[in-house]
Amino acid sequence: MIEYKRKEQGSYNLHIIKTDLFKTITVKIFFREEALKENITKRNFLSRIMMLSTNDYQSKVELTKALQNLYAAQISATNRRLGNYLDTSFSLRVLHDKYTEEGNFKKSLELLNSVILNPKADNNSFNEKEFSIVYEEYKADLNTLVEDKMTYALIRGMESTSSNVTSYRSIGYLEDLEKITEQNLYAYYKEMIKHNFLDIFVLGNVDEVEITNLFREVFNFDTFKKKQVEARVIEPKKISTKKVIEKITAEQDNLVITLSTLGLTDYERNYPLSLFNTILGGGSESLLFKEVREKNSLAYTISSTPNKLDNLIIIRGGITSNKSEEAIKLIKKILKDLANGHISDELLDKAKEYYTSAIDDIIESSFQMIESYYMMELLGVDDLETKRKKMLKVTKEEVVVVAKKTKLNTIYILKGENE
Amino acid sequence: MDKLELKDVDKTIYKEVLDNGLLLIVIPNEKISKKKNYYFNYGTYYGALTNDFVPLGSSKMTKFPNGIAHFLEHKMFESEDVSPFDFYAKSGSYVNAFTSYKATCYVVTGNKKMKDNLEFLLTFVNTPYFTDENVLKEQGIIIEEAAMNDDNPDYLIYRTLSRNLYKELPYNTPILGDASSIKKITKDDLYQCYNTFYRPNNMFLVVGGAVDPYEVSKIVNNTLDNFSFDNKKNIKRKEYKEPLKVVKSYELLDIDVKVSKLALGYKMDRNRFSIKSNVLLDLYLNMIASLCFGSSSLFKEMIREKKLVSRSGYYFQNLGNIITFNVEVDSFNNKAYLEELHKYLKSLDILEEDLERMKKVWISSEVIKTDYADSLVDTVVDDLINYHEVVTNNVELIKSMNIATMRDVLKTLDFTNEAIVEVKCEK
Repeated sequence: MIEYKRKEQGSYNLHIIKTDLFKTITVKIFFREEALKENITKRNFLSRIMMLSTNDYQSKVELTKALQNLYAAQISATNRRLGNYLDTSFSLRVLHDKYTEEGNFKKSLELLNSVILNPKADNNSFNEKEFSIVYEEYKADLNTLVEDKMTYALIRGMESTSSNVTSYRSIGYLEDLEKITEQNLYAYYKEMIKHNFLDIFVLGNVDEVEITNLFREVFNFDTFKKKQVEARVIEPKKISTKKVIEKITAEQDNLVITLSTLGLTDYERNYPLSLFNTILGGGSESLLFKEVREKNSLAYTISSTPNKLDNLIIIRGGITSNKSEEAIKLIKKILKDLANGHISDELLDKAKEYYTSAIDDIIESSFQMIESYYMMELLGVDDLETKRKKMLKVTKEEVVVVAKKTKLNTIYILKGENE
Repeated sequence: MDKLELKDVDKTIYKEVLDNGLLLIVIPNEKISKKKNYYFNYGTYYGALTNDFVPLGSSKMTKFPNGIAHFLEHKMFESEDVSPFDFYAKSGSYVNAFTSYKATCYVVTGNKKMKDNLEFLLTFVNTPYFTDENVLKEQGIIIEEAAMNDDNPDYLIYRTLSRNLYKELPYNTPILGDASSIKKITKDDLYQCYNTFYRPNNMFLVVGGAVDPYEVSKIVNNTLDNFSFDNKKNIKRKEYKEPLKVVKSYELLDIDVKVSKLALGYKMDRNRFSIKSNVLLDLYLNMIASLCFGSSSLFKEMIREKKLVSRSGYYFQNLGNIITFNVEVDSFNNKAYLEELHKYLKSLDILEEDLERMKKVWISSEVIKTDYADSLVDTVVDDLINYHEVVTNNVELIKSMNIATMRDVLKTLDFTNEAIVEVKCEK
C-alpha cells in the first residue's frame, strides 16, 4: 500500500506517504533557497553545528543519549545544490509506536523540532565553544579535500567547465569559512528558517489527520517566502571545448570530462537522456566501462552521470598513469559513434531494463521514496508508473537526437606524478 | 528445509544443506510485502587469509602469490560465451563480488527474472574459464585498482599498521596483493585455488527478499545437479601461530597530508577472556567500542572539546587466538591525543544504566533491520563468515548482557602490546 497526499499548510507543504512497507516512520524536512555562492559554507556550517546540541540537549552526548532512549531514533542533516537551489534537509527515522511505546514518535518529533528551531544559542549568537569546535573540524575537512583525489578532480573539473552556479563547491570554501562568526551565522540561520521554501515529508504507516495535527502542534514554522526561481540552470549560448591539466603526486590520473546537453526538450531531458547516459557510462554494461576498462585496461573506474538541472553529463575515471590521452581519444570515438547512431537494439533494451529495475528499487528505501516524491514536487517530473511506461517507449532515434545535442565541454586531467 | 525463527523479531528463515554439501539459507519477505527486490549472496570460505594450503589432488603445502583470492574473484567474471555483466544487464540486475580476508562473495540484486538470474549465478561461479591471455589482461586492471588504493593516505596508514601488527597472519598483506605478486599469478595457480575452494561443501548461498523458499531450493538443487563436484572434505590450510608481540611498535610515515593522522593497534590474547562463545564476546567488545568510544561517550566529547581530533574511529577485531583493538584518528595534536588515550585506556569503565540504554538501542536496530532484506542477507553472511553458523538468538543474547560480565571483559582487556603509525602534517 502506498497512498500519497500533499497538503498546503501555509508555511510549508506537508507530504504524507502512507505505506506499510516499513516498521519505521521517516520524516524529512527540506529547506531550499536560491543558490548564492556565499551561503554554501554557512549552510554546511549550520547543519554541522545544529546536529551537535540544542538548548534542550546541551551537548552531543546528551543529544545522542536522548535519541538512543527513543529506541534508536536517528537524525541527520545533508546539504547539496540542486540546479539553482541550495537544499538542506533534516531527517528523522524512528520505529513506529507499535514497536516501541505510545508517544515515542511524538517525542522524537519534539526532539527534531528542538534541533531545527531551538539550536544552542543565546543573544542572537551561536554558542562560542560549540562554534569553535565545528569551525576547526570543518576547516580540517576543507583542508584535506585534495587528499581525496577523485572528489578533488570532480570539483576542479566542474570549476574548469564554467564559472556559473554549476561550478560552486557544495562542500564550501575556506575563505568563506574565515568570514563566519557566531553572530552572522545565527543571523543567516534566522533568515533560512524564516524565508526558505519548506517541504515536509512523512513516510510510514500513519494517519493523515493525526500527522497533520501533530505537525501543527509540534512545529512552529512561521515562514514568509521569497519568489521561486527556476530550478534548472540556463544553458550557455555556445560551447568551446577546453582542456585543463593539473599535476599532483599520485599513482593515477583522475579524469573528468564534462559534456553539455544543449537545447533538449523536457521530454528529451527526462527520458532519452537517461537512456543515453546509461548506454554511455551507467554501470558495467556501458560503453565506457567495456571499452576503456575491460577491453583496453586503461582505467580501474570509469562512468558517467547526467545532471539534468545543470545541463551536463559528467564522465569520471581513475586512469592508468600516462594513459589519459589514450583514454580521451577512445572516449571521443565512443561519443562520435553514438551521435552517428551506432546503438544496438540490445544496448537500448538493456538500458531500459536497467531503468525500470531502478524504479522498482525505489520502494526498498524510505529515503529514496521521499526523494522521488520531492523531485516530482520540485521539477514536476512524472510519477513512477508514468515514467516506467514512457521510458519503455523511447526509440533509438530519440536517443541519437540527444547524442547529437551533446557537446564536449571540458577535459580536466588531474595528472598523477611520482615525486 | 528447516525453519528457523529469528527470535523476538518475528522473522522466519529457511535452511537446507544440499546433498553436495552446500549450505542454503533463504530469508523471504512477508507474504504481503509489495517489495520486489531479491538478493543472492553466493560465497566461499576462501579469502586473502588463505595463501598457503594443500591444493586438491596434491599432498604438499603450497604457497600461492599474495592477492590470488581477489584475482580469482575477478577472473570468475570471464566466460567463454556470455559474460555475467552482460547477462545481468539484460534484466536490469546488478552483479558484483567482494573478496575479504576470510571469504569471497558473489552478489546479485534484481527484481526481475529471479529463476534465470539464480541459475546463472550458480552456473557462472561453477564454470571457470582462465586463459593465459585473459590472466595477463586482468593483471593490468588489478594493478590499477591497487594504485588507486595507494593514492589514499588513510589506506596507506592502515596498511602500514597491519604490517607492523602481524608477524605471521596474512592480515599483514593487502587483500589485493601488490604489483609484483599480482604479476606472478598464472592460469594454473588459479585453477588450483579454484578447484580447492569453490566446491559446495566449502560454500554457502544466502537468498533474501521477494522469493519463495521452496522454489529457491528447487532451482538450486536442479541447477547444481548439472555439475559434478569432488567433495573431498577437510581442506588443509596453513595454521599460524601469531605472537602477541607486535612487529614494530612505532613508525613515522612520510606522506604529504593536510591533517596529521594516527593509527593504533593493540593485540590481546583471546584465551584470557572467560567468555568462550565468540558471538557473545564480540557483542561485549562491540558494546565497549560503542559505549566507551561512540557519540555518547564522554571521552569522545572531551577530545572534541579540547580540539585534539577532527575525526576518530575505534573497533575490535576477533582474529581467532588474537583480539585486536584498532584506533584511526585525524588529529590536530598527535602527542596530546595519545596522552589522553593512554590515560583513558587504563581506566575504562561502563555504567549499568548506559549498558541498559544501549541494549535497548541494539534491540530496536534488530527490529528495524527486518525491513531491509539486503541487511538481513548481509547479517547472515557475516555470521557464516565469522562463526560458520546463523545466529538466530541475537536479541536474546543482547538481553542477556549484564554489568558483571561487562566488568570482567573490561578487566581482561590488555593494551600493552601496542603499535603506532603516525603521519605528521608539515604546515
